[in-house]
Amino acid sequence: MAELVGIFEQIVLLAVLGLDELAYGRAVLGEVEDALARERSVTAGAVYTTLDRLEAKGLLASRLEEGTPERSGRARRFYRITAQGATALNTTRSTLDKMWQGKPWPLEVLA
Amino acid sequence: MTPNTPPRSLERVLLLLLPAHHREAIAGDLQEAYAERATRKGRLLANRWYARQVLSLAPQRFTLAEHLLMGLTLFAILYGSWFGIMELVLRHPGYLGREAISGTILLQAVLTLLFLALPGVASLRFLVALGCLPLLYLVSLVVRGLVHGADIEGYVLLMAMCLASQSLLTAYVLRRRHSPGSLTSGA
Repeated sequence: MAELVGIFEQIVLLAVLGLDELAYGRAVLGEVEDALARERSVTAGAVYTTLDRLEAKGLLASRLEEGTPERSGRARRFYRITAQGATALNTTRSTLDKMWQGKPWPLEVLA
Repeated sequence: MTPNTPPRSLERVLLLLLPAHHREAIAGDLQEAYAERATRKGRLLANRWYARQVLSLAPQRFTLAEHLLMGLTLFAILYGSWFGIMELVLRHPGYLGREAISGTILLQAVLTLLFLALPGVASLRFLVALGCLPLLYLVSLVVRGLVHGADIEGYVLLMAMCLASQSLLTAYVLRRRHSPGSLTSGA
């Protein structure tokens, strides 16, 4: 059975997906910061820990590439979604869509 | 420090916190982001942002075994200090030997806490593993005393039990943390 991913994991996976070939740590952090700027502040710890966990679960794969002078030659770690990651995102989305079916949107705020 | 590089002291802390596998990439990412922020918002705000990111990368999630080890280690600091202070005050014959025991207990406790907090320092792993040996030796002395019917005080027995548990848990945590690349503790 395919894995369901949590909301923050989905955001990180979608950031990686959106960045495509340019999905290295800092770019992912920037995307997630932009996505959540109004909702809450995002820290590097949250993003890198999630990237690490997703990689450990096999939903992401990473490779190191040479660094540039503006980062003192430190390597960049690029991420890409694996087939397992794509399946997990699909399953999560279809599960949520199914659950939302027939429900009003946006929900009325009850006092 | 040049205008576009993070404060060196904070960067050093970051490097201590990060496991070797991630050190270069994350430090480079944050350096890039810092430079961009410093240009856009000024050094002061960039420094504050960088400090926050460094703190966020400190180990925050510990496994149950690590929590237990932390508890036992803090308890070891308590009884190790108490034992050392009492021996220093009473100065019974041979107290220097017991001071050495107290020092060993405290040193191992401090090393263990540092090991848990700073996954980026590989040498701590070795020192903590090495530090289990004198603890187990102390436990073996108490066990030998018990076997030979020596009169052993209750607090010594309690300390020996705690030291034995601490050593076993340390070995377990060291084994679990053998994957040096993980940012999440105990993975």
